[in-house]
Amino acid sequence: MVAATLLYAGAPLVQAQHVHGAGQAAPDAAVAASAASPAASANRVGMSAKRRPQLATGPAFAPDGRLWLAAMDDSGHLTLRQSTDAGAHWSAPQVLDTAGDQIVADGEQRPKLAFGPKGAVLIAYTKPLAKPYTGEIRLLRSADGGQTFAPPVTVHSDRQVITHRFESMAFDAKGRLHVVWIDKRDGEAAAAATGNAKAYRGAGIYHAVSVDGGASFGPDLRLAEHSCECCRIALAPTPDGGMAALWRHVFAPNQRDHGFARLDTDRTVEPVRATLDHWAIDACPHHGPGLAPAAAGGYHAVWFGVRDGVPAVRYGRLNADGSPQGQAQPLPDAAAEHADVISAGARVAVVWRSFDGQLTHLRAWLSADDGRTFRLQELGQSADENDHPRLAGHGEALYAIWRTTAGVQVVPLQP
Amino acid sequence: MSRCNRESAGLPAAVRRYLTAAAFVVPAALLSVAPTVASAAPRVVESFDAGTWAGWQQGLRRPAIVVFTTTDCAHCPAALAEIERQRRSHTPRAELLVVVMDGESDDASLLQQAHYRSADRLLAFDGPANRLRHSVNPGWIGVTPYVALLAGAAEPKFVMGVPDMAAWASFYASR
Repeated sequence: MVAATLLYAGAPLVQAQHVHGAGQAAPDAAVAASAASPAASANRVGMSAKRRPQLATGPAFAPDGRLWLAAMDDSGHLTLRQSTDAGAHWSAPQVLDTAGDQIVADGEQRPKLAFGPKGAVLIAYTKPLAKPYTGEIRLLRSADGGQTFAPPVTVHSDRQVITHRFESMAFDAKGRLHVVWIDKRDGEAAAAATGNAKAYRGAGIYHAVSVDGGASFGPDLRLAEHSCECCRIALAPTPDGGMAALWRHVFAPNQRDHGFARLDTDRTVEPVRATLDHWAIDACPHHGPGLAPAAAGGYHAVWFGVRDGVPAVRYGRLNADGSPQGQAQPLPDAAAEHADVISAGARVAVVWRSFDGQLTHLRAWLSADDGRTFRLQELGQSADENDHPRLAGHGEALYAIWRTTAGVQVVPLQP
Repeated sequence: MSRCNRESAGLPAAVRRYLTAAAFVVPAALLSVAPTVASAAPRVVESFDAGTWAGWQQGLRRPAIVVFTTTDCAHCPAALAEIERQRRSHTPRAELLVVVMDGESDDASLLQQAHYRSADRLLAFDGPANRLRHSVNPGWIGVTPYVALLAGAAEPKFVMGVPDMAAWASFYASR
């Protein structure tokens, strides 16, 4: 039986339960009692834009080993929780003041959490604007280890009412904070110049860098043109302390394979074509890729695509420059969706969910030899609405974090 | 002068204005009953729940085009425009139903979206999205637009994105 820990997710906030083995302590009563009271500060805290459950979470391990979780509560507020025992127990929710921002926390768009130098804690989220398909990337920053947060700021300097969405965020080994997002300013400009709304293929991948832990950012930089418009962006550290990105691209004329590029540039680059599905379609897959470093060099990647008419989530190895290495393999689950990948040395975990008509299964493909061989493991299942599986690691320890309307499961991954 | 005009010519101006207005109201009421000839935008957002798709297999008037979409599907407005263009070029016009998977059935703002206005009916998922998608097609994991073409007694034909010319030809040949 896979050890898992359940945490609140829906309303009303309930006792944290855990099935983590013998000697479990009583749930933290403060957890049950601390349900957010939105009435007093509804004008100030971040509110969900929708009423259907906003289950998307942003987990991350702090440098001290605590597991943090950024998520919308059932009252529509952005909250933080911490656990000192990998999800066996959780702190009371810290309701964050997001200055009344509406927040999207659903599927490909989820709050992001990152820890930086000198006690910096950053949380990024997308704030939808009134005009359809538009948004802003907003950032909360703490300089005191998460005790207090400054009011949210907008990351990008461009303030047009356009798409700035699907952001990802990470610190590199040199302490630089990278925020990457999908941006439609170039499409808007092309449409305005030509009078043709279809003048520009897809969207742009833009990024900004902060060298002071998120206190300020450099200019908006276009990394690549012609990305897909509705899928998350994967980030992974490079061996030399930098950061690389993998995203769904639109290779001319309309093939939605994945593009790879390093972020240590201020130029627009032609991305390396990292996948070879040659999936030609004008549609929104709503499926972003996953990327993790490989011990032998290069990267592990997972992505959804249709190859030769066969839809599947596939795993593949990438060379250091992002080009495909060897043959991609479909996951051993035809219903796999929203997979992600994480690694620690030669230990690799690919995690996905899969719906059989009644239950959603949380499954993993685990490798102890840097992806040469894998074994399949069932991690859990749920009949409830649920989030995409999220992955987090601390040192050699790897975890899957999976939120349903019944709670949050934290599952250790043991490749 | 038409019979209607001759009969109304001697009436007070206020009554003539009333009759003129009624001439527009009545056809709209008829259109709401016979959606296959309607050009009016949807007035309500209906619920698409666990039984809707199965019910449509038996009871939906055909030919029908069902488009599954989301509010963040950047391709969907253009796709719906193309689908509408195809629909208008054939008679009898197929019924167009648009289902918003991440909408709410009481969200009036959906009715304001221009690209939904061509629909004869606008619906929003009412229930877990994965279950509702599975009820439509177990092999569909959420790509949008996702188009179901229902013609005659045939099984629905599913297409990711806008159907190509071959799919349209087959659809209109079999309706």
